[in-house]
Amino acid sequence: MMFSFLTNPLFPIALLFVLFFLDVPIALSLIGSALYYFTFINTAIPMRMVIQQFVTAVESFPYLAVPFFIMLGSVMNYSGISEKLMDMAEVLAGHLKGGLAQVNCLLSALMGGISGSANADAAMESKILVPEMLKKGLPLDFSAAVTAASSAVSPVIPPGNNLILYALIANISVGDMFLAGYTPGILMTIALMFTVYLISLKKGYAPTRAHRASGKEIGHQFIKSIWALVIPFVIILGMRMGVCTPTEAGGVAVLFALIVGLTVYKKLRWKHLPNILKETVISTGSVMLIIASAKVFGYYMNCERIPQIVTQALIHMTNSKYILLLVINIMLLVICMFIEGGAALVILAPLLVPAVCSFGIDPLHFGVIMIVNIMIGGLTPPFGSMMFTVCSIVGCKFQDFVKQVWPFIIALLLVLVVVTLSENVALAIPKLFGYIPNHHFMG
Amino acid sequence: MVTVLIVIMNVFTRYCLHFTFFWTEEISVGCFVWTIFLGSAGAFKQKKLMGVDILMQVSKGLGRKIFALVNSVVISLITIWMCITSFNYVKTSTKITAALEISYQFITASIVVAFVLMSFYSLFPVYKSIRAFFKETDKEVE
Repeated sequence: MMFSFLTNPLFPIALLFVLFFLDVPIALSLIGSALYYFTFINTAIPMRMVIQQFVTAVESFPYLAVPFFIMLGSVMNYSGISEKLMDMAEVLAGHLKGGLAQVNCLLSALMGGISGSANADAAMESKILVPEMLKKGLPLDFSAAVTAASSAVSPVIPPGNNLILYALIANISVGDMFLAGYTPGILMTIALMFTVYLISLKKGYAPTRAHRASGKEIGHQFIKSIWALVIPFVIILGMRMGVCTPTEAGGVAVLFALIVGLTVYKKLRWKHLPNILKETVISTGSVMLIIASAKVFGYYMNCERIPQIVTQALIHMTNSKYILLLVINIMLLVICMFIEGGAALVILAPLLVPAVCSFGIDPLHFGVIMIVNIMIGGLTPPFGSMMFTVCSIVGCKFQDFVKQVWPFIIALLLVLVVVTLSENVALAIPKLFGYIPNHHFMG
Repeated sequence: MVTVLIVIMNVFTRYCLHFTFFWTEEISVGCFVWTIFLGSAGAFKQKKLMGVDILMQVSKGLGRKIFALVNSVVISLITIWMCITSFNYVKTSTKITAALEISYQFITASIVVAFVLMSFYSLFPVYKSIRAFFKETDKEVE
């Protein structure tokens, strides 16, 4: 039986990787391997059940939050809110050593995942900030590295799309997940800014402004950008107070950003609207298609009890939760070098969350670890997706980029270690708002 | 197609913001499903679906042509396969929705439409990559 491996229940997983490497879109790879399984290996389940999974995956009201938050990012870009945030970041950080490189890091934190994905953030900053950085005399490779590294911050700070996706998958409150993102996001920003400072000190990169901005200047700029800064807080407060669901919060935030863009900053025009909608529909389509196909693939994995097998294997391997987290972290870092973070999250979270919960790790804590981790993965050579985005937009050579980016990766890895070891880094703020960590052993 | 998408988006935005009627959720979810699948077909057309393009980037010359051919054929096969299975599903589906009591076929038809579109779009690269073999010049295959 030479071809018996073709009917091996694990063959679809191998097939999935083959398809990945053939450059078949991730969603289609997932569908393809699942279809293969239900057609040739497990014929007991009618195909209609499989397609049913595909539909029900996206037919849920909570997921409606996703397009709203994607649209929010798009509206913010068109409405001049991004530029206001950039001015704010410049006033706050322009006097530090490294000038615009510092501004770059801070801007990512302020943008706070509003742009939906790290790649979108990286693209935006590559187009707007990098040309400015070059004008001020910063080298191209360094600017590219800073931009890519800082874009890792924005999905961690709420309201990032990955936070919503994880919360929905792990069945925890989106509001709690948002709150949990703050401390790690801020830690990442500080780590990056400190790295920029050290490098600038060594290489002599000058600040962009001679003096620290005066309190009056900061206040002035703050008032100008208040509308932009206030949006994330409105969203989170609305959700925490129980005024609205995440989906409604997203809708309200879009409306709010539209009004601000049209009437306060006056940069948004009605003619931008078709473009915004088009961008939103396309990005939503590509994100949600992955979710739907991951559900079908997950259905296959459940039929073969693969999550249970993985959990068992992990329990047999170790009984220390720190070793478990270490193993998972390394695994995630490797996987995310190849696959875009959001896709990796949707595929792996359903597999890993039950396993870590059985070790008494809080799902919220684990979510933060996972998201910080996949962002680092997107930055890491050889195949990080943010790296490709930035390098292709600014036209930086791959080898030069790699030489510049490693100090930032080390800085972010240190943050990951801190977040992993101390549950309180992620959970302090949610606890403040009444979150009770869930440590009970489900195994 | 774009205008249709905009109308759908507008409708479901409006319905979601006034949150009063019991059937709005159903409508918005229905529109959402349509938006997703039409959007994914659009993303497919614009090559915005995320993939892993390592081999494509390192391969050159003949290897690249073969790779592009295999890639486009595999994509076509999957989309056509999905097209057929989803069509069968919709054909046999008898469920109706809870509030409006319309057939689920109105919602699930979106999958068929999306994959028909994708299959259609996917055939073009197949044709292009086959043609690339017959060209003497080593032009880049997209």
